[in-house]
Amino acid sequence: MLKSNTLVQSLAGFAEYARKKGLVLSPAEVADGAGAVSALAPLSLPEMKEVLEPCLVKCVADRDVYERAFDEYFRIAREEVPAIIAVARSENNLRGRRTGRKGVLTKERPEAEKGPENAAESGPKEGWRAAFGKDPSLSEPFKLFLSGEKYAAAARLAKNPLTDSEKREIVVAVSRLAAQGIISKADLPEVAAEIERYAALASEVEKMRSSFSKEDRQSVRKGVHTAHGGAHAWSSAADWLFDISPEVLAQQLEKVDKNRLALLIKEAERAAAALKPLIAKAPGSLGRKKALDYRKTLRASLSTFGEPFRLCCTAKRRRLRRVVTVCDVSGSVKNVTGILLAFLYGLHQAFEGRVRHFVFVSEIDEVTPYFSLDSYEECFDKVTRAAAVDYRGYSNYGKMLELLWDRHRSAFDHETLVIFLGDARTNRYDPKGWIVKEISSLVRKAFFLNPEDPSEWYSGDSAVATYEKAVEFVNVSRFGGLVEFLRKLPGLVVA
Amino acid sequence: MFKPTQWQEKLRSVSYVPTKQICAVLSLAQALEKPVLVEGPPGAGKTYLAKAAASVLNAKLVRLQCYEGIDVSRAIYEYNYGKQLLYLNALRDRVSAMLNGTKSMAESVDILDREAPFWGESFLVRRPVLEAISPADEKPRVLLVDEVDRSDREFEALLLEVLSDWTVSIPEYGTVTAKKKPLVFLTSNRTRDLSDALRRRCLYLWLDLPDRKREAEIIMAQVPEASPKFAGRVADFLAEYRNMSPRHVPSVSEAVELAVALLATAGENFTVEDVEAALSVFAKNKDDAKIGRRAAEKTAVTLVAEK
Repeated sequence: MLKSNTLVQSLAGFAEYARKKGLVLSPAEVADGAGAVSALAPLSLPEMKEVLEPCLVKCVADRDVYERAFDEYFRIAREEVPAIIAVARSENNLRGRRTGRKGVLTKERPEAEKGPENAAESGPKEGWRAAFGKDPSLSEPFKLFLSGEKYAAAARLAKNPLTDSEKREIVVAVSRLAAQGIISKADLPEVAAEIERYAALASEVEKMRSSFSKEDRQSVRKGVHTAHGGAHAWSSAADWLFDISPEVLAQQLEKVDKNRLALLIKEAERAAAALKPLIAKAPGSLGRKKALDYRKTLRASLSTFGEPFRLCCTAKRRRLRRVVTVCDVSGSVKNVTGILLAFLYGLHQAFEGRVRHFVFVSEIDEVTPYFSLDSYEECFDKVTRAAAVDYRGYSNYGKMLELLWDRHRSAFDHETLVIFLGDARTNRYDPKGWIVKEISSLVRKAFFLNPEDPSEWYSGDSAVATYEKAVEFVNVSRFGGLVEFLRKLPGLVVA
Repeated sequence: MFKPTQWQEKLRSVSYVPTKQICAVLSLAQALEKPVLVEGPPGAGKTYLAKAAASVLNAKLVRLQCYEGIDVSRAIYEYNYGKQLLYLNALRDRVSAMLNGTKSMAESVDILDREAPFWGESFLVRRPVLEAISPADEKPRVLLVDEVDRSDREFEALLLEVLSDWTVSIPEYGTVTAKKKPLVFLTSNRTRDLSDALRRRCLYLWLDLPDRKREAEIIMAQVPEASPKFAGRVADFLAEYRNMSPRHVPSVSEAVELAVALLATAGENFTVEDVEAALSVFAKNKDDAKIGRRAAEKTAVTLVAEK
């Protein structure tokens, strides 16, 4: 059990770390956490995680962030915890090597673990320990280890891992002490055993450190904050989106490779997580225009028989517009569709059921139900494999529009925002521009995101010239263009 | 205050099967004297948790069902204006006599304030929140603010004082402080996002639909005649059914109703046909009925394969 001041320091440190990871924690919540731990006295880290969760996690979306932050912080960032685990593991491994089976205790305690009662017997042996302790060229963890303070040694190693030069220094020190006669021939096996134990401990500590992923270390160093909580204006809250490197923003979307695509999808998911609270609760609701509420006024006044007559006003209700996306899943456009849908997947719940997704090549199918799946990977897998579209066919925008208009006309009304995504290349089929015009006349606004380079837009079988009469084309040939469009999306969606 | 292990035993004794997290949160709610915000999909057992907790604490459950437009007069307190006017009318002569001889308006008002208790206890209508904070009989209460997400932001703001300070300020009456803080549950189906101010005053509990093992335990707890094997089969079927993404996902109470229906009509060894006959218990539309049939067939096939 942690002592109270250590507990408070640990929790405060964890709170700071969790804030860097994107969890918004107030001092009151941290105090509640300390109170909870004191009240329920958890005996292990998993129990402590369970006890702290109700105090620190205030919505289901934060649970993953909390669990990751807790595991990382108490597993790695606090030296005591990995140090304890590393010492236990290294001792277990060493015992296993002696007996041939891991984890099996021998009847005989190894000599190095003999306690102070044997100090008299090991008088001359202690000479080399003391000599090592006084050697200025040796590292602090090694000296602590030799003096029996294994946990402190492991904690130091967690901060400053064993380097090659330190290993060399130890070997040089052994040679020096042997030359001086402080280490005798009889002492050598014991010295070797101690050094082996120290090396095993350093190795275990290093394993704990390396399991901390590279990406997470970078994000801890960067101190990336997500725009959680609080009411921000759209532009300032979405500004974090521009916390993306210029190199990534300049990435051409049509030619993106698998690794880069994964990175871009992750950025899109991050964007969705940041914007989700803003769509779910629109900013500036306090400043919204209030209108006279006749029903409330009459109810309030009737109870006093009209004396006094109280006027009651209510703020105009926040309204979410409907969103319909129609995305091409053929060829290279599929990657761009993947990024856009990753963003929309993250916002799916915030849209409160007012969003519908369609994918097409020449046939079109609705894929909205897949957005309720547990992970985006599952969702996109279904979208690109399981929809009733001819994945291997050639894009035929005209046929797609015809099917969309026949089967799903009800999806479009004056409160709908439509987002088409594709290169508008019809493979010489009739583009059926009139349907786009009809849709555009029904809906609030229609956008056409084109991932092709604008210089190619009016060439060959491109139908941009036909469609742009009815819809607004948006250049998303680079990731920055898509980011810019997504930045504006909340403002278009929330009435 | 009960420890989590004690909550575990006591909740099971009232036929509620809790998870470790539920027990920890209830224990913390008592220790820290904070309300509990329970979120989760519809039918996960959020309301039933409050009822079970009230039963364990031997407290009266005070329920406030939220809806859009709910305000202070429905949730916290109201004055019985009709009664005030009636009394005023009836006591007009008495009041006149009382005010006879007063020299100024201020003196008359002062006398009325002192003598005429029109803003006192007898005209105050205690709505659920005030009833929970300051019960008339001083016995313990558990307050359930059900489906708080159906209310609006203004109503949430009304609850903030109560949830943080356990007081209700009534301008005409004074501040009422809770002598014994009730256990408060707020439930939400997440139809809208609640404000941060409300969330931060509560302990948070996410209550999801139970997994197979827990659902089987719930069925056994609620349906005493059900054997572990029967409960397991029903839980397996429901897990398969939910996996097929029906439009209406069956709740825990519907799971119990299905178990009761199957036990009553077919007994322990129910067949696919028996499940089809009981579809109306949990399948609330045509498409879900088809899914129910498929799930029943699939579960039956799995059972035969296991045998």
